[in-house]
Amino acid sequence: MAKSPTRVSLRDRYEISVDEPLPAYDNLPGMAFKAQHVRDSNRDIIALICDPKLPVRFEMISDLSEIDVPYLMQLQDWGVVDWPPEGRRCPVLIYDRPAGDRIMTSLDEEFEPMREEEIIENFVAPAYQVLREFRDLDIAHRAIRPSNLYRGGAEGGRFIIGDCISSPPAMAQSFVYEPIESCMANPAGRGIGISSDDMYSLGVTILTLLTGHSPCKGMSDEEVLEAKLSKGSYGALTQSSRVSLTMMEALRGLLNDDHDERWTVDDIGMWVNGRRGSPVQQSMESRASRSFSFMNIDHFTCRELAHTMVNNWSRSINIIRDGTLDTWLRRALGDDAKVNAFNDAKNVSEVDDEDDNLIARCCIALDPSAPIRFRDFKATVEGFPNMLALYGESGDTKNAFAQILQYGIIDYWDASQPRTRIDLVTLYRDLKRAREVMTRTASGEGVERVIYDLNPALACLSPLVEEYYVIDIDSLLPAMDSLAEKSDDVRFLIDRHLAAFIAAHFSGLRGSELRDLDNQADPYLPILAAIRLLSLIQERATRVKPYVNLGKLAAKMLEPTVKRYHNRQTRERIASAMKEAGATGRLSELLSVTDNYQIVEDDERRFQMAVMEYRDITNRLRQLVSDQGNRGAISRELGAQVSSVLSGVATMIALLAIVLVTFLTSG
Amino acid sequence: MAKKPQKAAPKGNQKGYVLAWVIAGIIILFTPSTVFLLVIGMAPTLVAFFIVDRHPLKYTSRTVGYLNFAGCLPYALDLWENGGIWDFERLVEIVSDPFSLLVMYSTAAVGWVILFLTPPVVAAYLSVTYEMKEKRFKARQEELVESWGRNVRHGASEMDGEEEPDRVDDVGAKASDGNAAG
Repeated sequence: MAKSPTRVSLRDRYEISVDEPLPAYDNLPGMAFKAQHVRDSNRDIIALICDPKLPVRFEMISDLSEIDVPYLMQLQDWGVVDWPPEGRRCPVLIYDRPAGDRIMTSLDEEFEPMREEEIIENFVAPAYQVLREFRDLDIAHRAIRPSNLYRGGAEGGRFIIGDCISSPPAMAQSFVYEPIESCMANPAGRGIGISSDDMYSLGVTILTLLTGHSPCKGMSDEEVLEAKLSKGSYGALTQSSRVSLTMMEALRGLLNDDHDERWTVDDIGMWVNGRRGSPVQQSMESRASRSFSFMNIDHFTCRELAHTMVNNWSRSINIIRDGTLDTWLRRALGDDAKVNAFNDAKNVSEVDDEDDNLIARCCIALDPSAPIRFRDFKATVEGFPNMLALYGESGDTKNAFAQILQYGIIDYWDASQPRTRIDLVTLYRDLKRAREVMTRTASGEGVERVIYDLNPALACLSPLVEEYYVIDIDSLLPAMDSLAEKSDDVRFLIDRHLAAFIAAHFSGLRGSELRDLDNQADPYLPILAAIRLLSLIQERATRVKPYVNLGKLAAKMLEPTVKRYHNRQTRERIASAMKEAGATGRLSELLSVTDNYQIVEDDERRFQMAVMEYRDITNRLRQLVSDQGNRGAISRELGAQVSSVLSGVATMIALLAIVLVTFLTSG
Repeated sequence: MAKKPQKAAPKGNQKGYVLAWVIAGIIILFTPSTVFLLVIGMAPTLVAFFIVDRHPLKYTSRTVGYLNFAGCLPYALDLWENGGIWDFERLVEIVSDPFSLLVMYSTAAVGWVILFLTPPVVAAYLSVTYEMKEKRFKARQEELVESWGRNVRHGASEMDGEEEPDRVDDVGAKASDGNAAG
C-alpha cells in the first residue's frame, strides 16, 4: 500500500506538513498544520486546512489584503490542495503564525482575569484598529471570541485577532458571543453581518477577559438566548459579575440589544482614547401590563412571545386565529404600532391564508429585528445564500425557501424594518429571481442554480467532483480529468449540480447547450451535449490544455454513438478515430470525429441506397424464381430465336461457299 | 401447352403481306422455273410456315427456311446457268433426280435438327446462368447485410410494406419448385 505523502505543496511555494498538526492554532472546523515557505524557511507560517463541506469566505480575501494592521492574523496565500488525511482536495489558508498562544483553547476554560488596563491596552485598542479597517471596507469579521485571539509578539504583547474566512460568517460563534438576532437564526443562516455584530462580540470578549471565563458558563444555548431575551444581553451576561463603571460604560454600549443604539467603532475608539461618559441604560422593549400565557410560559414582551411561537410552530396558529393574541396586544401591550403591524400581518389573500405563512408574518410583526423564521428555517436575509448552500438539497429547506418566496415573506420583512436596507437591494433582486429559477426543472436551473447564483464562491456540490473542490470554471476540467483517471464507473459527465455550476460560472453559454442535456428522444444527444459543453469550456479557457484521461473517458462514453452509423466500416473507422481523438485530450477533436453531421447524413444517404439496392436484388431474385418456373417456355422461345440465328449463320456460310465454288468452277 | 391467343395483325403488316404477294406474283411471272424449283425444293419450309409454325415471328420457319434455301440454291444456279429461267426441261431433270431432292430436303432437315437441339441447350444455359445470378444476388445481399447490418433487410421489407422480409434462402427453394413444374 502506497505511503501517504507527508508533505503537500501549495503552488510550489509552500510545503505543508501533514504529520505536524498545530492544534493551538486551530480555528474549528479549520485545522492548523505546520507550513514552510519553499524559498524562505525563516518565515513563521501556518496552514489552516478548511472544512471542504463549508463555504470559505473567499470573497473577503481581496479586502483583507488591504488591511495593514499587525493585530489581525495576516493571510499570506490560499489555495486548494490534495489533502491526504481527508483523501480529497481541501481549501487551505496560509497565515503568519502569531507569536503567542491562544487566549482560550476552549470557551469552557477558566483563566486568571485580566486587569482592565491590560484589556484596554492589549485587546480593545488593537481590536479597534482592526475593526475600523473592517468598517471602512464595509465588511464584518464575525469570528471575534477569546478562542480566536492570540497573544501577539508585535508591539509589546498586543492581542491578535484570528482567522475569519475559513468558515461561514458567525457559524462557529457560540450563542454567548452573538447578538440576540444572530442567536435566533440557524448558525448557517446568521448572514454576513455588519460592524455592529462585531462590536457585540467585542463586548462579550471584553467581559470574558475581565472575568476569566465565558459568560453564562454551564448554560445551554437556548437558556442563554432566553436569558438575553428576558433580561437583555447586558443583564444576562453580566449577572454575576462585578464590573467597574469604566467597563460598564463600554459593556452597556457594546452589548446594547438595539443595534442602532449599540456602540460603533468610533465610539469604542473614543473610549479607548480616554473619553468617558455615563453608562447608558439600554432601552428595553415595552412590556405588557399583564402576561400572555402560551405553552405554560408567561410572556410580557412581543419578542419573547415570538420566540416561543417559533419554538412551538404548529401550535402558534391557534393563538393567531382565535384572536387571543390580538386582544392581548391591544389591551395589555397598548402599542398601537404593534397592533397595526400584527393586523397587517394577518391581512393576507385567501390563496396565501396558510398557517405557516400567517405564523411567519405574525412573528415578524411581533419582532421585526429577528431573522425570518419559517418552521425550522431560520435565517437572516443575508444568511439565505449560505443556508441554501449547506441545506439546499434537503427537501424541508427547499420547500421552506420556496414558500418564503412564494408568500412574499422577504418583502414583508423588509417592509417591517424601520429603515430600508439599501445594502440588501441586490440580494432582494437575486432572491426574487431565484423564485422563478427554482420552479424550472431544466438542467442548469432549479434549486441547484439558485445555490450557485447566490453563492458565487461555493465549490461545486456535484458528487462527481465534490472531492476535487471546484470553485471556478478553470478548475472544473482538471477535476474531471482526475475523476476520469480514478473512476472506472462514470455513467454520466454532467449532473444537475454540474449543469447549474456551469450555467452560473461560465459566460460562454448561448442557451442551447444545456437544453440538449435533457433530451430524452435521442438517446445519444445527452452525452454528446455534455461533451460539447465541456469542449466549449476547454476551448474558451485562457490556456487551452489537453485532458487525456477525460478525453479517453469521453471517447469511451461516446462508443454507443457509433450505432448511429449504419455502415460497419464507418462504425469501425469512427470508433478508431474516436479513440485516437480521445487520447489527444482535446474534446473538440473528439467531437469533430463523432459529431460530424456530414458523415451522419452521408451514412444515412448511403444506407438508403443500400436498402434500395437490397430491395432491387430481392425483386430480381423473385423474378428469377418466376423465370425458373417458366423456364420451359423461356427456353423454347429463346431456343427458337437462337436456332433461327444459327440457321441464318449456317446459311450465310453455305451461300458463301456456293458462290465461291461456282465462281471458281466457272473460271 | 395452352396456345397464346393470336394478336390481330396490325394494319402495317397487312400491307406488307399484300406487297409480298404482288412481288411474288411478279417473280412467278418472270421466273417461273425457279419458282417451281423453290416450291418443290422448299416444301419443308412451306409446311413449317403454313402448318407447323404458329409463332408470330416464325422462328421455326426461318430456321428451316434459311437452310432449305441454301440447299435449293445450287440447283437454282444450275437452272439459271444451263437452262435459263424459262427452261422447264432442266427443271424436270432436277426435280426428278432423287439426289437433288435429297440435298434440298436434307438441308431442311438440318434446320429441324437445329430447331430441336437448340432449346435444351438454351435451357441448360439458362439454368446455369440463373444459378450464377442467384448466387451473385445472394452474395451481394449478404455483402449488404455484412456492411449495413440487418436493418438494411428490414428497411427493404418496410419499403415493400411486408411484415416479414423475403429471406434470401427461400429463393432457391422456389426455383427448384419451378423446375419441377416445367
